[in-house]
Amino acid sequence: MVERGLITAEQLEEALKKQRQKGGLIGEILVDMGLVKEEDIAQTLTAQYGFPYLPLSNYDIDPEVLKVIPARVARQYFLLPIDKIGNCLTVAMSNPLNLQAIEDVEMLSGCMVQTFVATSSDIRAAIEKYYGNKE
Amino acid sequence: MVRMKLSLMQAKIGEKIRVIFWLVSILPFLVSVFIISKYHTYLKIGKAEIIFFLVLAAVFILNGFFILIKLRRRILKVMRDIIQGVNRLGSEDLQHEFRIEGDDELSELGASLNRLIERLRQTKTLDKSALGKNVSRRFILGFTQVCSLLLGEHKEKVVPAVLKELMTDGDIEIAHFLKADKQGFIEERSRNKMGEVILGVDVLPSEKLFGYLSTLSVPLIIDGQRSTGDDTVQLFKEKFKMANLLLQPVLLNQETVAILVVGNNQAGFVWDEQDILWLQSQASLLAMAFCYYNLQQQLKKLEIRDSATGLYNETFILSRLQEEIKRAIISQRQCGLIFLDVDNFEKIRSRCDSENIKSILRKIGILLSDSVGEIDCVGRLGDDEFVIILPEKNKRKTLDIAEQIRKKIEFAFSEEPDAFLRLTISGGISENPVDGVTAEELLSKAKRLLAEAKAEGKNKIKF
Repeated sequence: MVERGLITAEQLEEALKKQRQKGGLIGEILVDMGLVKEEDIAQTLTAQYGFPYLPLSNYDIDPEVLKVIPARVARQYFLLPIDKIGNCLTVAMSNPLNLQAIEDVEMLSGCMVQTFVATSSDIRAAIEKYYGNKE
Repeated sequence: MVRMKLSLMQAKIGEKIRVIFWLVSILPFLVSVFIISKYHTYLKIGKAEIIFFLVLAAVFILNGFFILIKLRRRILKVMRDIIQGVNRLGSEDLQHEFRIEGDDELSELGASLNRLIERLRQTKTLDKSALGKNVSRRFILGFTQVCSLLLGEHKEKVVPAVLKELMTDGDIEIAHFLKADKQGFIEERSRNKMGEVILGVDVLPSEKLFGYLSTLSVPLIIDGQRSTGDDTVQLFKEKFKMANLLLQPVLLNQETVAILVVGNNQAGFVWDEQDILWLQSQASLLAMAFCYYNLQQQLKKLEIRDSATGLYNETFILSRLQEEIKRAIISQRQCGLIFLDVDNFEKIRSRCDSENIKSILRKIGILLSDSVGEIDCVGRLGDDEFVIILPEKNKRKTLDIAEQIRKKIEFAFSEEPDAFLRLTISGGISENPVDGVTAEELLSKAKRLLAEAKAEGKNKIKF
């Protein structure tokens, strides 16, 4: 994001300082500080790591696919199962770099996981919409 | 046997001095005489030299002999006097005086002993004059008893011990201990001459006496002379079914935490100062006991380590688990949990003494601590139950670590000569968020898996 001119090195340093103090994800801290938009984070992840970006608001999810991952896991890892074709599960995540979370999803589903990046607010809204009060 | 006889360590001082005398005078003289008589021709020693040598040696021996007699008189006699004097002191004879003349260490020792006797004499006089009924002695005895009970963590024995002590007074027929709580002053224990009894003498908040007892800060004395006409006094007499009563509050931080009541039914009886003082001293002991117990309870709450293994204790590890789960939720990470249990521990415990058991548990504790990282947390829940919290580790990573630990413990105990000591462990693992979002959920899942591992033949980790 610094290379792309979205934030300055000083702003990044300040955000990292906040992360050291309070914890949390660096992307969310930058968004909370009003320095970048969630879409900027998602697009940066797409550009840097090659994860495809998925705007969740335009997407309808099959309720059967949701059963693969418990609501508590989806809420904690900020992810949502999107589609399942054969042995391949497509998952939208706000942090696709969380490899241990992907391992957990693979273990729970018994499938290979393909990750898409989505914004935190899109995932939060989708979890509310599809899981509701489920545990 | 020979060594015993030859060794001077066991000998008395007199024998030691005699042996030294032989070694430094007579023995060298005899050796010299032997050498001269045998080799005088080679050594070219004339008769005049031999006579001179013999005279010189005789002078030395005589001198040594006189020194021996002097030493025996100075040291042995004085030592004997000191021993006799100290024996008399031991049988509480404080009239003895040590008379050791001279200005050496022995006379200093005598003077020190005389000073000690003088101080003992003063203390004994004070004890007798100030507290005629040996209240101070009783207080000290009671204090020592209470302290030993508390140090042994037998809190429940403190009150019976105090009541028993009170009953040793011939004037006291019954003693009650009423503990203050939300329901009133409740009879926790009572005792008469025969032993412990329950008489149902609770004082409830609805009773008039309750308000009186709540504000009682000094002893209430009821006997043939004092407090006779008062209504409240009549109520107390009826409540405890005694004509003469002494009620002493047990105060802690100016709050009445209990009431000690003693009484008798003797006609025309009057409580004396020593009775009151004694009851006060027992109440002070109880207050100290409560204070100490409260402190101990607070300390226990603050303790975070298990004394046997040095690992974190159950209270700490459970609160830490909940904290780590919260942290995992905030940082969108995971938190692994391993629940371990020693296989066939009951069998091991039945064959080993407590020290061996402790040593086994310590060894396991060290192996566990050495197997995890700095941010991980190892604790002991029960006898042979251990818990490991692995922040930021998912189930697969937790399983890897649990398997390493299982193998490590199996190997570490595999060389034990006794087969029953070649112990192994079984475990269950769980993870936040996969298995739950609270400490209870993770523990319950891990315990369930542990039970499965045991059922499937032990020395196994289930996930």
